[in-house]
Amino acid sequence: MRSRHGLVLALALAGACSAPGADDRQAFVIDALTRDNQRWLDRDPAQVAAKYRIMAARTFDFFRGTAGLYWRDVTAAGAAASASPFAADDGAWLWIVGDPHLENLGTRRRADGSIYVDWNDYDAATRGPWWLDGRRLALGLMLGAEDAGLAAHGPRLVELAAHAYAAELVRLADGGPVALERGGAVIADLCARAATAGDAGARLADYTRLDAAGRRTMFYGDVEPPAEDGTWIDTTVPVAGRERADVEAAVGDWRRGALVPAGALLGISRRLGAGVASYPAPRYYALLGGASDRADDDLLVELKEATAPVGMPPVPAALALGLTEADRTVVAERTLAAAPDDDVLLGGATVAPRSFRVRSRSGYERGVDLADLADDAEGLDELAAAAGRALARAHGRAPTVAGGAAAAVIAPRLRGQADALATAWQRDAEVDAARVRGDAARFADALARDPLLGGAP
Amino acid sequence: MKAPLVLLAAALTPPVIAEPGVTARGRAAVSAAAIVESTGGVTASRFDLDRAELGGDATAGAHGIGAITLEAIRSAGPDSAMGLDGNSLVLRLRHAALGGRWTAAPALTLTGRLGLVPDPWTAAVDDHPERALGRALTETAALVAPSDLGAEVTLAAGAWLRVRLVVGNGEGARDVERNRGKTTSVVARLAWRAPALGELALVAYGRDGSVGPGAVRSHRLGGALGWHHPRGAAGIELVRGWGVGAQPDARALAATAWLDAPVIADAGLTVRVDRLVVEGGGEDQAGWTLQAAAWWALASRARVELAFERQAADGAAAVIPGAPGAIDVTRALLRVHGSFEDSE
Repeated sequence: MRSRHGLVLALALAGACSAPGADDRQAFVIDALTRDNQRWLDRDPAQVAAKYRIMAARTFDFFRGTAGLYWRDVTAAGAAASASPFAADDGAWLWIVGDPHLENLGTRRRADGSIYVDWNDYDAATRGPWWLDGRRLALGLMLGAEDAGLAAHGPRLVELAAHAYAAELVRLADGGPVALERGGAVIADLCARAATAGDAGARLADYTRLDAAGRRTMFYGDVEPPAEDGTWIDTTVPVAGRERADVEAAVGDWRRGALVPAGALLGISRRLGAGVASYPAPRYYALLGGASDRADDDLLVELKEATAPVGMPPVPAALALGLTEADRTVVAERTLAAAPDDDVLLGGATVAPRSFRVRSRSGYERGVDLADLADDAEGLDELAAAAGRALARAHGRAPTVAGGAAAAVIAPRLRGQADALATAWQRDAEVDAARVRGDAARFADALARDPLLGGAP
Repeated sequence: MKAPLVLLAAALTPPVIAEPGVTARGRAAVSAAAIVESTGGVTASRFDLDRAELGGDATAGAHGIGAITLEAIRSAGPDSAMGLDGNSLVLRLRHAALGGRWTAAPALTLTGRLGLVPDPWTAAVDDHPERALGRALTETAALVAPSDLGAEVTLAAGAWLRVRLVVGNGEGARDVERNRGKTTSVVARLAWRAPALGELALVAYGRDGSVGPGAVRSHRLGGALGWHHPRGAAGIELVRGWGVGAQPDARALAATAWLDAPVIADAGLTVRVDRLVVEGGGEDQAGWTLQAAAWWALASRARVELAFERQAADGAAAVIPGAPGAIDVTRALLRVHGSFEDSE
């Protein structure tokens, strides 16, 4: 008996070595991405594989899909954690956008019908350090310039954004009114196209159809066909069974807190192929009757399953938001948006354990696409400055945990310091961009071995 | 094959099970607090259930042994309310293992178990009643998971030597195996007892491991020295880690020193100091936690405490670099805690 026990122990010891270590940074990228996508890997791994393919095809999309890596790297003992000259205790837990970059800018429509540009994605918004939110913007500008074929122009974009940020923050702290982003050729063109599409009922036309009796019904099929590798781009599919019951329950829950009444639920579809970071997250379109029986005032709302921001520094318990993930994004949008009441359909819905952010889906909402800015240095300059101002408005107008606008906390550090801010953001952005390029190469290498990075359920 | 049912019964009904050839023992541990805390310019109060565990162990026949422990945890993330049925407290398995015990000589015992086995380091430093001021630093800092799916072999020579080997997935209770490697942990505990001096115990710890699909290294080396006597108890613990969370290149140092001393009958003082340093590619993360409490014994292993706690980061070496005060927390706590076992 004793010799048998000894044999078992020896075998256990012999087989018990930890796995051979790969490139440390590659191991970190694989592990962090798997953790951040675990929910979707468990539920729909094909969607995660498609997300990874998108990220591998374009460095800017890799950047978009790795906000969690960024936040790990710049906080705690991460690879790029360094004390900013603008860091301070009282600015550490202000409301931040979380993932501010050019392709998260988009158009919004005011009640008077005018269109302007502001942040359109608050999925990662939470409380955190404002200067690291700015650093993320700077990183996106460096990579955005590369994406537009103007890599050498990146530092100039960062400088413009930093100066615009500092000037706008100080202006707000001094009591200046909130100004909406409408000016400049690129933004004016974006707004004009959004107005045209919205007036024409573009999204309703894309995702619904009128039947022979003139009633509006959901459209299921390719609004834009999938790519050759099967990656969805813009397709809607029917929703049935438990999934449909969840969406119907979510619409019901949203109605109870909605700012405006909406009519009967006329149809539901699932949208495939939207976003990068949230590509695998279920998005549903719900068609709702309008104020009349006519089809021309029907409403289309999007329900997107919300998840927690990843990689962020842990908020102390006394400062925790204590909200569902959807409610966090809704509160964040109402807190950070320049004109928080523009989307009267914005709301949260909970069907435990899932929660959904609900918002309007119309042609009036149109996102910035860097593909439209290839080799357009002037256009990028305009957007970089607008992004800096938009971030300043978001940060400055949001309340601090102790009350009062955050502009009063941030502005004293920025008065006369715009050049220093630009220098700090440029220095960090250069380093961060090099790291992201390296990570993208490591990611592509790992993806060539396994389309789910070894994270298959 | 009766053992699993017996174990479940042991967990749910603390009294001894009177079945021929089977003995079972139940236990429970609870720690709850009323907390007032100040951080980031905000003062808030809350009630908290830091620990709620229910479990038991059993022996069946000449060799069969097993143990199971359930624990209550919050079902949502730290900054969210979205968990099961809101942010409910839910029960999950902390340990569940089954195996056998053989006595090879009068004082030499070999024990083997399979299942969700306790981490040997946490078990070695967390099993005395003076651990009043919370869980081990290595557990709260996520340097060590409290349990792992694996196999455990323990060799004990009387009360003076115990060597425990655990081979597991390395992923803890939250995940299945995610890479090709296994994680091996070894803890050796050497104890010396003298009637006048009490017990002096030396614990040595080593782990070679990896976690996640990236096979992030997770190596640990540590040691502890503990002294237990009716007039007081004290200990120091030190663990060095290579690989922290998803960061294979990060290194950690976790150190704890604690002292527990009765001052008068049924009342005394407890002090604990924790030091955690995580070194990565950029700025380090480092901080202190000081806890001090005056306690009154409700029973032999149950106390009510009035405690003070201060957490602070070092200069630039904070969770948010350059904002060391951002996570500084000062707490006052009224806490009750106790662990109960049946008398078997």
